[in-house]
Amino acid sequence: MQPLPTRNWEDILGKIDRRLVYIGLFLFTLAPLVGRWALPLNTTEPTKMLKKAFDGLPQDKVVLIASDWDAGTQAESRPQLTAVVRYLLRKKLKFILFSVTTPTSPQLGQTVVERAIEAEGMKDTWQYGTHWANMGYRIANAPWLRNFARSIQDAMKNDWKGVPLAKLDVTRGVDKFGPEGQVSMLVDVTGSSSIDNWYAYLSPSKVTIGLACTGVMAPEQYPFLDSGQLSGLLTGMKGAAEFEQLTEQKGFALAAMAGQSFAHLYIFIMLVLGNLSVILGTMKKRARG
Amino acid sequence: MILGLINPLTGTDDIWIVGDPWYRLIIFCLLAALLCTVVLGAIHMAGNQATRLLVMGCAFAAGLFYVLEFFIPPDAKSQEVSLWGVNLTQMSGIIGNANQVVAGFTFLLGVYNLVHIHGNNIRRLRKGWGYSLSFFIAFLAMTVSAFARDWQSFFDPKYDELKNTAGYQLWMPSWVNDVDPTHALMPHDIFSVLFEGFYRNMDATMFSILAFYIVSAAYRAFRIRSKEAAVLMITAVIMMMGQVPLGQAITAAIPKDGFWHGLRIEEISQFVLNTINGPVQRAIGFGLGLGALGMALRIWLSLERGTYFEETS
Amino acid sequence: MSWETAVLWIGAFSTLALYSVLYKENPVYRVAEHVFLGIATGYGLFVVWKDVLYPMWYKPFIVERQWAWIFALVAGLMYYTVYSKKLAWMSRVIMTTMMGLAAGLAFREFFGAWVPQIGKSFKPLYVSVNNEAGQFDLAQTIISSATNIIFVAVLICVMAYFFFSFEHKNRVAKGSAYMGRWLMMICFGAMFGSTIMARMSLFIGRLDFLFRDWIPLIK
Repeated sequence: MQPLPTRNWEDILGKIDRRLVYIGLFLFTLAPLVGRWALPLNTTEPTKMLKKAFDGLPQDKVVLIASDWDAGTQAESRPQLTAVVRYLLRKKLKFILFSVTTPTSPQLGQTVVERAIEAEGMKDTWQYGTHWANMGYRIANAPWLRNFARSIQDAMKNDWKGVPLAKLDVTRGVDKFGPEGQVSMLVDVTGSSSIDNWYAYLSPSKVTIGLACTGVMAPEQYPFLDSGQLSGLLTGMKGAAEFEQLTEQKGFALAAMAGQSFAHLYIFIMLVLGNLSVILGTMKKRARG
Repeated sequence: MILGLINPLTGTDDIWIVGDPWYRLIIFCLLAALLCTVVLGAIHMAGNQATRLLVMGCAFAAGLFYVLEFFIPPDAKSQEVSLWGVNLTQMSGIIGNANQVVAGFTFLLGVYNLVHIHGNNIRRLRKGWGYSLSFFIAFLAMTVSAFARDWQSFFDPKYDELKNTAGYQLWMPSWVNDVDPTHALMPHDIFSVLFEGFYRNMDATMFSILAFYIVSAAYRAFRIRSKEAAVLMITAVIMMMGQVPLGQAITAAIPKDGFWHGLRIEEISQFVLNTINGPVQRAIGFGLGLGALGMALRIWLSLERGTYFEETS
Repeated sequence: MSWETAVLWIGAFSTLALYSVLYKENPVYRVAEHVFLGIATGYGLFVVWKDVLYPMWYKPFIVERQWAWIFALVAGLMYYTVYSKKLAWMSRVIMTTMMGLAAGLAFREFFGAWVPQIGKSFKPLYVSVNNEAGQFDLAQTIISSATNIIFVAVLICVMAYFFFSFEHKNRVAKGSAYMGRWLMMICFGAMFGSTIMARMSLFIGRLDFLFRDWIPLIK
């Protein structure tokens, strides 16, 4: 009978079964959510900037919301869109939804807006067609985007149910971006790189551009924040949580921040454990000469 | 004559074709098909050199249009660009919308590829053909239920006018198209089951699996074997901790308004994002932007070589 | 069982079927994966018709009888010749035309997105800041000036790293390019940290669905 191999610390630390690692993540993340551990969250400057941008918008113009996310990033994008829409509702700012990157987005966005209206208790006062609309999906190719930046009416023509834009109060006459136009701001709630289109085609029109993107994309947007091409930024679920806190909303993102915290802590622990096993192994080799 | 041809695309002018009977549309379609067949057939007969020239000419002409539209100064009042009496700005609208339609047709190309691959799997009973069958069942279920739900809105000429009036007969039963306003958030039809039940959850789950893989990668693969890796990891940890409440609690003892507030972890992470990450991203972006411009020039002037610009057959 | 509950259970089952791959590759996962692909393709097809082809092609062409839209169909069909060796040139004509259009727009895109960035890179290296009372604020002046100096220095260092027009023999060029490399590591670290945050958020979203909507553990 062969002797059992002796397990040392570097083996124990370095060869944890991946399924155990997964279970650890599951428990670490779930526990604070179930326990409803609330922790104070700091609000960053880009989030404050976005709120400030909304606060300065005129009532007689509309806000265009490019809802460019699909269910894959809904954990980040959905609370962002909810928080933004709820704030616009409170400010009584009319808005129009559309999408240029993900075909599923108009359907998902529609549900988000309907629920936000219900959450704000404005079901009877905030009507589709009069105060808000959904223009549906178009394919983002460069020539069409150029036309969209030139004339919204010509590029869009109708809403997602096929109703001509001229027949809806909120979209009638909405054609141009910028100070001379009828659109005061474009907010891109996105899980893709759709914002690049708006930098390229809408920046020259001087329209205010806001962004709510996933955490992955956020670092790439800081040069645009610095240059003023971007008026505010929500970074992933954390950005949504900050916006909820700033505008005193009771939403999903803020409640989820405890889970997010412990998930990060868990990754940190796993990083340390993985490297510790290497360090212990190296020390052992050196000790043996 | 040329404007007469283009006008029907805009739909804004008084068009002599609008409202015409069906047979005239069909005649025009046949004439157009004949014209296209003759023109394309002639080019085909002309051989490889002619088609190559056509490919290059089309790329150049297409690019030139938008180059002119950008570089020619617009009219001060209308902000529109004209050249020899042709309004390029308005023409860009027609091209943009036509482009959208052509791009729409290409989507079917992707669908065709998928159907072709999975169809072959089933036809030849390749290993895992059952999975291809499940693809087809799901594809057909979604396509049929979605089209059936909105069929009336597409093909009933009276739909827009009468949809909200009492007594307007719906073509589909409620399990195909539920219009009950009390079910607005979750219509009780097949489409909603597929979209809200399957699609939305599956898409979200697919992406969330990455969370497990990233933990696994952090544990197994992210080894600090160099100084660069150490810098990368330290920054990543500062970012991870500086963005969440638990991490922010580490330095919460430092007063927010005090002299040392810059040492709070959220301040450090914000400093890294603004002052280090910002200019690095900008420098990389300049490179990417110039690279994209260079690439565009190569395509426009047909200097690019490869599949599209060389005859391969 | 209500309609909503049924949809909820379908969602939970779909989620667990896909998560089963975390244990190991299995047929349930593979079926779920293909069902997802099928539904997504079907929905994409529907939306392209509903939001693009129906309002922008079918309606003007068939309903409003703007006959010239027939050429858009011809152009679209030209893509499909890619499957024929003899007629593939037609697909190349339409593809290069589309690429040419996009290439022509690249100038507008560059000037729209990147030219404002060039202007904003020339930051003042000394920024005089006054406090709320209108008096000179030394601490804020130092912080603001230092921030701008660091910003410009980082930008120059990283650009130097990517500058290959001459060899980095000069000490200044060599040093700044070397610094640029380290600064990029910091940037990549920030991106990695942000990526982790994003991925964890997606997982939390699923936990919220499973343990709030399906099994009400999270209150």
